[in-house]
Amino acid sequence: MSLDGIRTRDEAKRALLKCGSDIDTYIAHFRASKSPGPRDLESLRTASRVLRKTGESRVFWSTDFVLLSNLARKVHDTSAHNPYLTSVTGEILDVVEYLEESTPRIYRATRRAAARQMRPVRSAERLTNASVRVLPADCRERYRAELRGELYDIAARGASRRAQVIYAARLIEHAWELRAELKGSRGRWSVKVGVTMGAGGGGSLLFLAGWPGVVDVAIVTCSGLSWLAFVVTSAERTERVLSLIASIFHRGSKDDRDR
Amino acid sequence: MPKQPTAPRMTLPTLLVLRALLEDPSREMYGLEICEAAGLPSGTIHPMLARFERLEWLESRWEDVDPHEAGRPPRRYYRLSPDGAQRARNALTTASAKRSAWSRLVPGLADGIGLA
Repeated sequence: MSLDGIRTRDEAKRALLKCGSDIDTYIAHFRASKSPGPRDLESLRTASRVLRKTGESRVFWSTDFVLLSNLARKVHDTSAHNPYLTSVTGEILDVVEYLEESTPRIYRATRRAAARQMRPVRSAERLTNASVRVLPADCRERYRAELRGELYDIAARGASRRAQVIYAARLIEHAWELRAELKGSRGRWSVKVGVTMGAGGGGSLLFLAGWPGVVDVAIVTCSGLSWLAFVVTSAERTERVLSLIASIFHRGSKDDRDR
Repeated sequence: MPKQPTAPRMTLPTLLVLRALLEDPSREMYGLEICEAAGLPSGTIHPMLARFERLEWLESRWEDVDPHEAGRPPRRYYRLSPDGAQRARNALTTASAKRSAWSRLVPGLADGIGLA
Protein backbone atom coordinates (compact mmCIF):
# COMPACT_ATOMS: atom_id res chain seq x y z
CA MET A 1 0.00 0.00 0.00
CA SER A 2 1.36 3.41 -0.95
CA LEU A 3 0.30 6.76 0.36
CA ASP A 4 2.52 8.69 -2.05
CA GLY A 5 0.75 11.44 -3.89
CA ILE A 6 -1.99 11.99 -1.32
CA ARG A 7 -2.80 15.67 -1.46
CA THR A 8 -6.45 16.00 -0.55
CA ARG A 9 -8.79 14.89 2.18
CA ASP A 10 -10.71 12.65 -0.21
CA GLU A 11 -7.55 10.87 -1.32
CA ALA A 12 -6.53 10.37 2.31
CA LYS A 13 -10.00 9.08 3.10
CA ARG A 14 -9.89 6.54 0.28
CA ALA A 15 -6.43 5.32 1.37
CA LEU A 16 -7.58 4.86 4.94
CA LEU A 17 -10.71 2.99 3.94
CA LYS A 18 -8.58 0.68 1.80
CA CYS A 19 -6.32 0.04 4.76
CA GLY A 20 -9.36 -0.78 6.91
CA SER A 21 -10.58 -3.15 4.24
CA ASP A 22 -7.12 -4.84 4.16
CA ILE A 23 -7.30 -5.43 7.88
CA ASP A 24 -10.76 -6.97 7.46
CA THR A 25 -9.24 -9.37 4.94
CA TYR A 26 -6.54 -10.30 7.46
CA ILE A 27 -9.22 -10.90 10.07
CA ALA A 28 -11.03 -13.23 7.68
CA HIS A 29 -7.74 -15.15 7.19
CA PHE A 30 -7.29 -15.43 10.94
CA ARG A 31 -10.80 -16.68 11.37
CA ALA A 32 -10.28 -19.34 8.67
CA SER A 33 -7.02 -20.59 10.17
CA LYS A 34 -8.47 -20.42 13.71
CA SER A 35 -4.97 -19.74 14.93
CA PRO A 36 -5.32 -16.46 16.83
CA GLY A 37 -7.00 -16.17 20.16
CA PRO A 38 -10.27 -14.25 20.55
CA ARG A 39 -8.43 -11.36 22.20
CA ASP A 40 -6.16 -10.91 19.17
CA LEU A 41 -9.12 -10.96 16.84
CA GLU A 42 -10.92 -8.39 18.95
CA SER A 43 -7.85 -6.14 18.85
CA LEU A 44 -7.73 -6.38 15.08
CA ARG A 45 -11.44 -5.67 14.78
CA THR A 46 -10.92 -2.58 16.90
CA ALA A 47 -8.03 -1.59 14.65
CA SER A 48 -10.23 -1.95 11.59
CA ARG A 49 -12.99 0.08 13.23
CA VAL A 50 -10.56 2.84 14.16
CA LEU A 51 -9.22 3.00 10.61
CA ARG A 52 -12.68 3.20 9.10
CA LYS A 53 -13.76 5.83 11.60
CA THR A 54 -10.66 7.85 10.81
CA GLY A 55 -11.23 7.51 7.09
CA GLU A 56 -14.87 8.48 7.28
CA SER A 57 -14.49 11.41 9.63
CA ARG A 58 -14.22 14.90 8.21
CA VAL A 59 -11.33 15.80 10.47
CA PHE A 60 -8.26 13.65 10.51
CA TRP A 61 -7.43 12.49 14.04
CA SER A 62 -3.79 11.56 14.41
CA THR A 63 -4.51 10.07 17.86
CA ASP A 64 -6.41 7.27 16.14
CA PHE A 65 -3.19 6.16 14.50
CA VAL A 66 -1.46 5.96 17.86
CA LEU A 67 -4.24 3.69 19.08
CA LEU A 68 -4.05 1.61 15.91
CA SER A 69 -0.30 1.31 16.17
CA ASN A 70 -0.50 0.16 19.81
CA LEU A 71 -3.14 -2.43 18.93
CA ALA A 72 -1.11 -3.83 16.03
CA ARG A 73 2.06 -4.05 18.17
CA LYS A 74 0.16 -5.82 20.91
CA VAL A 75 -1.18 -8.43 18.49
CA HIS A 76 2.29 -8.84 16.97
CA ASP A 77 3.91 -9.39 20.39
CA THR A 78 1.33 -11.93 21.52
CA SER A 79 1.45 -13.93 18.29
CA ALA A 80 5.02 -15.19 18.52
CA HIS A 81 3.77 -18.77 18.82
CA ASN A 82 2.21 -18.66 15.35
CA PRO A 83 4.54 -17.93 12.40
CA TYR A 84 1.63 -17.16 10.04
CA LEU A 85 0.09 -14.69 12.49
CA THR A 86 3.49 -13.10 13.10
CA SER A 87 4.03 -12.49 9.42
CA VAL A 88 0.54 -11.05 8.91
CA THR A 89 0.70 -8.74 11.94
CA GLY A 90 4.15 -7.72 10.72
CA GLU A 91 2.55 -6.53 7.49
CA ILE A 92 -0.09 -4.61 9.41
CA LEU A 93 2.65 -2.99 11.47
CA ASP A 94 4.43 -1.94 8.28
CA VAL A 95 1.24 -0.29 7.05
CA VAL A 96 0.64 1.36 10.41
CA GLU A 97 4.20 2.67 10.59
CA TYR A 98 3.87 4.02 7.08
CA LEU A 99 0.63 5.72 8.08
CA GLU A 100 2.26 7.14 11.20
CA GLU A 101 5.02 8.67 9.13
CA SER A 102 2.53 10.07 6.66
CA THR A 103 0.15 11.37 9.29
CA PRO A 104 1.49 14.92 9.56
CA ARG A 105 1.40 15.33 5.77
CA ILE A 106 -2.12 13.93 5.45
CA TYR A 107 -3.21 15.91 8.48
CA ARG A 108 -2.00 19.13 6.91
CA ALA A 109 -3.67 18.23 3.60
CA THR A 110 -6.99 17.52 5.30
CA ARG A 111 -6.81 20.71 7.35
CA ARG A 112 -6.12 22.71 4.18
CA ALA A 113 -9.06 21.04 2.43
CA ALA A 114 -11.34 21.69 5.41
CA ALA A 115 -10.22 25.33 5.55
CA ARG A 116 -10.98 25.75 1.84
CA GLN A 117 -14.44 24.31 2.42
CA MET A 118 -15.06 26.70 5.32
CA ARG A 119 -13.92 29.78 3.48
CA PRO A 120 -16.77 32.16 2.55
CA VAL A 121 -17.45 32.99 -1.08
CA ARG A 122 -15.46 35.92 -2.36
CA SER A 123 -18.44 38.03 -3.38
CA ALA A 124 -19.82 37.86 0.16
CA GLU A 125 -16.41 38.81 1.55
CA ARG A 126 -16.23 41.81 -0.77
CA LEU A 127 -19.72 42.97 0.20
CA THR A 128 -18.84 42.59 3.88
CA ASN A 129 -15.71 44.68 3.40
CA ALA A 130 -17.75 47.28 1.51
CA SER A 131 -20.24 47.52 4.38
CA VAL A 132 -17.36 48.30 6.76
CA ARG A 133 -16.03 51.14 4.62
CA VAL A 134 -18.88 53.47 5.58
CA LEU A 135 -18.15 53.08 9.29
CA PRO A 136 -16.04 55.58 11.24
CA ALA A 137 -12.34 54.93 10.65
CA ASP A 138 -11.59 53.98 14.25
CA CYS A 139 -14.26 51.25 14.25
CA ARG A 140 -13.53 49.72 10.86
CA GLU A 141 -10.93 47.17 11.94
CA ARG A 142 -13.06 45.86 14.77
CA TYR A 143 -16.17 45.43 12.63
CA ARG A 144 -14.22 44.03 9.70
CA ALA A 145 -12.90 41.27 11.96
CA GLU A 146 -16.23 40.73 13.69
CA LEU A 147 -18.34 40.54 10.53
CA ARG A 148 -15.72 38.43 8.78
CA GLY A 149 -15.85 36.00 11.71
CA GLU A 150 -19.62 35.75 11.40
CA LEU A 151 -19.35 35.17 7.67
CA TYR A 152 -16.89 32.34 8.36
CA ASP A 153 -19.34 30.84 10.85
CA ILE A 154 -22.13 30.99 8.29
CA ALA A 155 -19.92 29.39 5.64
CA ALA A 156 -18.75 26.71 8.08
CA ARG A 157 -22.35 25.75 8.72
CA GLY A 158 -22.62 24.93 5.03
CA ALA A 159 -24.59 28.02 3.99
CA SER A 160 -25.06 28.31 0.24
CA ARG A 161 -23.41 31.03 -1.82
CA ARG A 162 -26.77 32.80 -2.01
CA ALA A 163 -27.25 32.71 1.77
CA GLN A 164 -23.78 34.17 2.31
CA VAL A 165 -24.39 36.97 -0.19
CA ILE A 166 -27.77 37.73 1.42
CA TYR A 167 -26.06 37.99 4.81
CA ALA A 168 -23.52 40.43 3.38
CA ALA A 169 -26.25 42.43 1.61
CA ARG A 170 -28.06 42.82 4.93
CA LEU A 171 -24.86 44.18 6.43
CA ILE A 172 -24.73 46.79 3.69
CA GLU A 173 -28.40 47.60 4.25
CA HIS A 174 -27.73 48.29 7.93
CA ALA A 175 -24.29 49.85 7.50
CA TRP A 176 -25.54 53.45 7.64
CA GLU A 177 -27.61 52.69 10.69
CA LEU A 178 -24.56 51.17 12.35
CA ARG A 179 -22.48 54.17 11.36
CA ALA A 180 -25.05 56.49 12.96
CA GLU A 181 -24.96 54.44 16.16
CA LEU A 182 -21.17 54.40 16.27
CA LYS A 183 -20.98 58.15 15.71
CA GLY A 184 -23.68 58.69 18.30
CA SER A 185 -25.56 60.76 15.71
CA ARG A 186 -29.03 60.17 17.09
CA GLY A 187 -31.09 63.13 15.99
CA ARG A 188 -29.19 63.67 12.73
CA TRP A 189 -30.45 62.64 9.34
CA SER A 190 -29.85 59.08 8.26
CA VAL A 191 -30.52 57.78 4.78
CA LYS A 192 -31.57 54.34 3.73
CA VAL A 193 -32.26 53.10 0.23
CA GLY A 194 -33.99 49.85 -0.62
CA VAL A 195 -35.25 48.31 -3.84
CA THR A 196 -38.24 45.99 -3.96
CA MET A 197 -39.20 43.97 -6.99
CA GLY A 198 -42.88 43.77 -7.88
CA ALA A 199 -44.74 40.64 -8.88
CA GLY A 200 -45.10 41.89 -12.45
CA GLY A 201 -41.37 42.46 -12.87
CA GLY A 202 -41.56 46.21 -12.26
CA GLY A 203 -39.54 47.74 -9.47
CA SER A 204 -40.18 50.46 -6.96
CA LEU A 205 -37.50 52.42 -5.23
CA LEU A 206 -38.08 53.15 -1.62
CA PHE A 207 -36.09 56.13 -0.50
CA LEU A 208 -36.24 56.56 3.20
CA ALA A 209 -34.69 59.52 4.94
CA GLY A 210 -35.18 59.74 8.62
CA TRP A 211 -34.57 61.82 11.66
CA PRO A 212 -34.71 58.78 13.89
CA GLY A 213 -37.53 58.79 16.37
CA VAL A 214 -38.93 62.09 15.13
CA VAL A 215 -39.98 61.97 11.52
CA ASP A 216 -39.39 59.78 8.50
CA VAL A 217 -39.78 60.88 4.91
CA ALA A 218 -40.32 58.31 2.21
CA ILE A 219 -40.48 58.65 -1.56
CA VAL A 220 -42.17 55.74 -3.29
CA THR A 221 -42.04 55.55 -7.07
CA CYS A 222 -44.45 53.22 -8.74
CA SER A 223 -45.70 53.12 -12.34
CA GLY A 224 -44.22 56.53 -13.05
CA LEU A 225 -45.88 58.22 -10.08
CA SER A 226 -44.06 59.47 -7.03
CA TRP A 227 -45.57 59.45 -3.61
CA LEU A 228 -44.24 61.40 -0.72
CA ALA A 229 -45.05 60.33 2.77
CA PHE A 230 -44.24 61.89 6.12
CA VAL A 231 -44.65 59.50 8.96
CA VAL A 232 -44.12 60.41 12.57
CA THR A 233 -42.95 57.16 14.04
CA SER A 234 -39.86 55.00 14.26
CA ALA A 235 -37.88 54.24 11.12
CA GLU A 236 -38.45 50.49 11.38
CA ARG A 237 -42.21 50.84 11.52
CA THR A 238 -42.18 53.29 8.61
CA GLU A 239 -40.19 50.89 6.54
CA ARG A 240 -42.66 48.10 7.18
CA VAL A 241 -45.62 50.33 6.29
CA LEU A 242 -43.89 51.44 3.08
CA SER A 243 -43.20 47.87 2.03
CA LEU A 244 -46.89 47.17 2.48
CA ILE A 245 -47.83 50.27 0.46
CA ALA A 246 -45.41 49.27 -2.30
CA SER A 247 -46.88 45.77 -2.51
CA ILE A 248 -50.41 47.24 -2.78
CA PHE A 249 -49.29 49.57 -5.60
CA HIS A 250 -47.66 46.70 -7.44
CA ARG A 251 -50.79 44.64 -7.19
CA GLY A 252 -52.76 47.62 -8.54
CA SER A 253 -50.44 48.19 -11.50
CA LYS A 254 -50.51 44.48 -12.35
CA ASP A 255 -54.31 44.56 -12.33
CA ASP A 256 -54.22 47.58 -14.69
CA ARG A 257 -51.98 45.70 -17.10
CA ASP A 258 -54.19 42.62 -17.00
CA ARG A 259 -57.21 44.76 -17.76
CA MET B 1 -17.81 63.81 20.62
CA PRO B 2 -20.71 61.34 20.57
CA LYS B 3 -23.84 62.38 22.37
CA GLN B 4 -25.04 60.20 25.22
CA PRO B 5 -28.70 59.49 24.61
CA THR B 6 -30.84 59.14 27.69
CA ALA B 7 -32.71 56.03 26.54
CA PRO B 8 -32.67 53.84 23.47
CA ARG B 9 -35.64 53.52 21.15
CA MET B 10 -37.49 50.37 22.08
CA THR B 11 -38.52 48.92 18.75
CA LEU B 12 -39.71 45.35 18.41
CA PRO B 13 -36.33 44.01 17.18
CA THR B 14 -34.63 45.81 20.07
CA LEU B 15 -36.95 44.18 22.57
CA LEU B 16 -36.38 40.77 20.97
CA VAL B 17 -32.61 41.20 21.28
CA LEU B 18 -32.91 42.24 24.93
CA ARG B 19 -35.16 39.29 25.67
CA ALA B 20 -32.64 36.91 24.05
CA LEU B 21 -29.78 38.39 26.08
CA LEU B 22 -31.81 38.27 29.29
CA GLU B 23 -32.52 34.55 29.00
CA ASP B 24 -29.14 34.00 30.64
CA PRO B 25 -27.55 37.38 31.42
CA SER B 26 -24.26 35.83 32.51
CA ARG B 27 -23.80 33.96 29.24
CA GLU B 28 -21.64 35.44 26.52
CA MET B 29 -23.08 35.26 23.01
CA TYR B 30 -21.70 36.22 19.63
CA GLY B 31 -23.64 38.05 16.92
CA LEU B 32 -25.04 35.07 15.05
CA GLU B 33 -26.11 33.38 18.27
CA ILE B 34 -27.99 36.50 19.34
CA CYS B 35 -29.68 36.70 15.92
CA GLU B 36 -30.84 33.10 16.22
CA ALA B 37 -31.99 33.49 19.82
CA ALA B 38 -33.91 36.66 18.94
CA GLY B 39 -35.37 35.17 15.76
CA LEU B 40 -33.97 38.00 13.64
CA PRO B 41 -32.20 37.68 10.28
CA SER B 42 -28.41 37.50 10.50
CA GLY B 43 -26.60 40.75 9.82
CA THR B 44 -29.34 42.99 11.23
CA ILE B 45 -28.45 43.37 14.88
CA HIS B 46 -25.10 45.15 14.90
CA PRO B 47 -26.61 48.65 15.06
CA MET B 48 -28.59 47.55 18.12
CA LEU B 49 -25.55 45.96 19.74
CA ALA B 50 -23.51 49.09 19.05
CA ARG B 51 -26.24 51.23 20.62
CA PHE B 52 -26.39 49.12 23.78
CA GLU B 53 -22.62 49.01 24.00
CA ARG B 54 -22.48 52.81 23.75
CA LEU B 55 -25.05 53.04 26.53
CA GLU B 56 -22.96 50.55 28.55
CA TRP B 57 -25.80 48.05 28.77
CA LEU B 58 -23.56 45.57 26.97
CA GLU B 59 -19.96 44.50 27.41
CA SER B 60 -18.02 42.85 24.62
CA ARG B 61 -14.67 41.15 24.22
CA TRP B 62 -12.76 39.18 21.61
CA GLU B 63 -12.71 35.42 21.91
CA ASP B 64 -9.38 34.20 23.25
CA VAL B 65 -8.56 31.72 20.49
CA ASP B 66 -5.72 31.13 18.07
CA PRO B 67 -7.22 31.51 14.56
CA HIS B 68 -4.76 28.94 13.16
CA GLU B 69 -5.72 26.35 15.77
CA ALA B 70 -9.44 27.02 15.51
CA GLY B 71 -9.38 27.31 11.71
CA ARG B 72 -11.59 30.43 11.86
CA PRO B 73 -11.35 34.08 12.90
CA PRO B 74 -12.06 34.91 16.56
CA ARG B 75 -15.60 35.89 17.53
CA ARG B 76 -16.75 38.98 19.34
CA TYR B 77 -18.71 37.98 22.44
CA TYR B 78 -21.38 40.14 24.05
CA ARG B 79 -22.89 40.03 27.52
CA LEU B 80 -25.25 42.27 29.46
CA SER B 81 -23.52 44.32 32.13
CA PRO B 82 -25.10 44.03 35.61
CA ASP B 83 -26.57 47.52 35.25
CA GLY B 84 -27.59 46.78 31.66
CA ALA B 85 -29.41 43.60 32.69
CA GLN B 86 -31.50 45.57 35.17
CA ARG B 87 -32.25 48.29 32.62
CA ALA B 88 -33.15 45.67 30.02
CA ARG B 89 -35.58 44.04 32.46
CA ASN B 90 -37.16 47.42 33.14
CA ALA B 91 -37.44 48.11 29.40
CA LEU B 92 -39.14 44.77 28.78
CA THR B 93 -41.52 45.34 31.68
CA THR B 94 -42.42 48.79 30.35
CA ALA B 95 -42.94 47.42 26.84
CA SER B 96 -45.09 44.63 28.21
CA ALA B 97 -47.23 47.13 30.12
CA LYS B 98 -47.68 49.24 26.97
CA ARG B 99 -48.60 46.15 25.02
CA SER B 100 -51.22 45.25 27.62
CA ALA B 101 -52.71 48.72 27.35
CA TRP B 102 -52.84 48.45 23.57
CA SER B 103 -54.27 44.95 23.67
CA ARG B 104 -57.18 46.26 25.71
CA LEU B 105 -57.88 48.72 22.90
CA VAL B 106 -57.07 46.35 20.03
CA PRO B 107 -57.93 42.75 20.95
CA GLY B 108 -55.55 40.24 19.38
CA LEU B 109 -52.52 42.53 19.41
CA ALA B 110 -51.08 40.70 22.43
CA ASP B 111 -50.52 37.51 20.47
CA GLY B 112 -49.07 39.32 17.49
CA ILE B 113 -45.77 40.54 18.85
CA GLY B 114 -45.01 37.74 21.28
CA LEU B 115 -43.56 39.79 24.08
CA ALA B 116 -44.98 37.93 27.00
